Amino acid sequence: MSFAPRPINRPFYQRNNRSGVNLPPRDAENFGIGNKSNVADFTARRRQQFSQLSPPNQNPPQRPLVFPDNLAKPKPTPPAPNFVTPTPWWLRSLSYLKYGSGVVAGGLILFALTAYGSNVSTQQQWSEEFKQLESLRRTERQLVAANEIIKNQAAQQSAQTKQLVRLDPSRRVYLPTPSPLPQATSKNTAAPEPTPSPSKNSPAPPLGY
Amino acid sequence: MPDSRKVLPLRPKQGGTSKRHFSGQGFRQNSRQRSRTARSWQLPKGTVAERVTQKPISEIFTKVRLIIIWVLLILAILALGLRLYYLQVLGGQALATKAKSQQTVELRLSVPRRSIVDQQGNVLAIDRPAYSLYAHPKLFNRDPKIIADLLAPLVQRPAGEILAQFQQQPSGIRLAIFLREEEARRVESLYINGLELLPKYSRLYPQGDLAAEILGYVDLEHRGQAGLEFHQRQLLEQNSSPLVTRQTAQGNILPDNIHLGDLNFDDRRLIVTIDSRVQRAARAALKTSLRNFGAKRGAVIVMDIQDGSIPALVVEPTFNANEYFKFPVDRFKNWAIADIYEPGSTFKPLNVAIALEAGTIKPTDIFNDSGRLYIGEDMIQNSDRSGRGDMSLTDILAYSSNIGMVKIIQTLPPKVYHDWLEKLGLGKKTGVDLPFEATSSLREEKDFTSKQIESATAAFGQGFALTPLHLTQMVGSLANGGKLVTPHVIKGLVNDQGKLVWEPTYPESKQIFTPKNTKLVLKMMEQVVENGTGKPARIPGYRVAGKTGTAQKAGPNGGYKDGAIVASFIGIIPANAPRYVVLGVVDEPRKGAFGSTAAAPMVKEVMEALISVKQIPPS
Repeated sequence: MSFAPRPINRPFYQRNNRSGVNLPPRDAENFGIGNKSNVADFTARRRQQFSQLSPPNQNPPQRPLVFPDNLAKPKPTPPAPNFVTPTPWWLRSLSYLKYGSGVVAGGLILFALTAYGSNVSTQQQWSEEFKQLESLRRTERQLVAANEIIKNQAAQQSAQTKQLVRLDPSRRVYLPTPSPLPQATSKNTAAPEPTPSPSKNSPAPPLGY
Repeated sequence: MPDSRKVLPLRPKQGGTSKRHFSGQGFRQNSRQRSRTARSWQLPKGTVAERVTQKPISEIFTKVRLIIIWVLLILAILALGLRLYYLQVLGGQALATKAKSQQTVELRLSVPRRSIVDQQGNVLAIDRPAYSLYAHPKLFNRDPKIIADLLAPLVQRPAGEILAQFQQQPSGIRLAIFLREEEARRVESLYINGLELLPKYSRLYPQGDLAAEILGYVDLEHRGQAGLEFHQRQLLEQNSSPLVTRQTAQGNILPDNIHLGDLNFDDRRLIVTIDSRVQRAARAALKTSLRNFGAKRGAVIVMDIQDGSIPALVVEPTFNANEYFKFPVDRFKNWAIADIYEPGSTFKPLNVAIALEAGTIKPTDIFNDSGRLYIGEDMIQNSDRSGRGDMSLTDILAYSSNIGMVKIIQTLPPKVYHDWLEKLGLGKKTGVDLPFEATSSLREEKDFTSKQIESATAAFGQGFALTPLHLTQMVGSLANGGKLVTPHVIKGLVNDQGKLVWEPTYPESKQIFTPKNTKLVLKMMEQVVENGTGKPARIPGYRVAGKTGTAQKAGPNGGYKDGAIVASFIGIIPANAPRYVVLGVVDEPRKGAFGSTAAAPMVKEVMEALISVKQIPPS
């Protein structure tokens, strides 16, 4: 890329690129800017438009428009030296930083929105869950209370009815505590007899329920 | 725009140009190019006045429009500034207060008192959701008469009364205090403006009067006023500090400044040592006895002799804590704890134990019961006015001989005897975890030493006074090998899994008697039930120890009330391996009633219930 003096006095339509920087012919060709046929087409089209907009009896401009064909003879610029200055490292790093920070900023915005949204929705969810918890607690209390009231009523009714008898010791059956098994009390614990496993030949003994 | 082109022809360098010209032609240039073009082109020639006059009307309109918009914007900014000034400066404080009151909410009301459960987990007291209904007639959107008619069945009051209330004041009329959930829902479904339901809790005692003397009650402000509800406020009112948090416009509560622990308020329940089954049986037995003997009042106490826990404590007449306001105030007093009485003969086994422990008598000693004994000018005689001659210690207890007891106590120096009574705890409290416990009364030592009659009357349980619970504790020491345990009804706090998470600590039991002597006395007491005055308490197949008591009742002006007695019986079951001590007291039964007739059968009934409930095997 080479730099040429800025053509201050040249009209805009004589410039062949937007930045006002003269590209070397080769670059211009590459971009199709310096292509003669293209320029001619463009200006022809513009002129056509212009003539359509203008009333036919209008005076033409005092000075005819000059076409780039007439003037755009490339200056006899010396052939540009074909050297490409490598982009300096700080520019590259700044460029990377720009893209990187852009990505980070985008991510942060996304995160902030998500965090905010989840915060709001979490609070709402909490509120609903809390309501439900309260409701369940109340229901539980009501059920417990109802259950206990029924218990009390049953007890009171049983006291009044004569069909039920009071549980006194004379109506109870007491079973003596079974004496401990001989194996458990035997001092000879060295060789406990192995439990006979039910063989296939002998039928299982009745349990005697 | 042909005119503009005419006025301002396109003259580079010489004539200058206008940006409008190019833009008017649809020339596609960006703003940077345009500005650069303007800089590079010369301004049109001519004086300012010429140029102004030459300006088209549309440009003037544009300027006017700009000015109008500018003015509007400035006015809008000014208006916003003024509004801001009003909101922030003039009304700032009031608005902030208003916003805060709308956004913050106190969660105080949603914190219930802890439930109280018995040993089996049966709920004895629980907080139930309820609503207070308030009316604000100024906000009514319907005819007050119709509203009154609609509300009458829900609040169970006549419509006319409600209508009269509406006319009293425009706002804040309380129509109902404890509306139940379903009634509140029905009020809501009426969609009447100006009715306000405030959620709260009402205390419910599902078992009615079953344990009212122990639990007490809570008043309209939800404050405990008697029993455990009063005495254990710290335990029951778990988290009374209000939780201030925010709420949305819809009334949804937001978790602002709320910690998870703040909301776990209802896990724990207060578990008491009361066994509803025993309590129910004791109440039934007491009611029957009071009815049969026309007594003024009565009490039954069951205590576990090992740890002092109380499975049943019944006082009659009592009250229903759900409708406490319908009962006279004196019912709220648990007289088994708050009133002292002269125990009479039920104290005799303790006197025998004291004499044995002091070593002034031997188990084989014989005392002569002459039927009448003079201490100075005062005469002492047996209740049946007869003498039984020579009596062993067992006989003295079995036939409740006053003369024999006086002679036993006379073996002790009065000071030693007084010291022993103090050691037993007379003149102090038991330390039970129920409110309003009375201090037992004992005469001063100088009275005891100077007046022989004092120790003589104390020998058969009169001349000093103690609460029924205190007597239970003392006799319990005879059953458990001589230890004074602290009677109590609180077992601890349990979580929702039923696991005990907190237990109260009670003072260490105090050894008063040696186990050898208590065993001797227990055997003597067994004979009281087998062969003596306590026969009505015999239970076939079980060894029961006990002692009857029929004491004169002290009058309000000193001396004894004529014809008024306190009949009592204290039993220990089973006598071979004691577990429970049961005291039954009947205050002022009809004439002719004794401890053996009025109290012993009642205690027997309670002991039978204990056998069934606590699975006590036959002796």
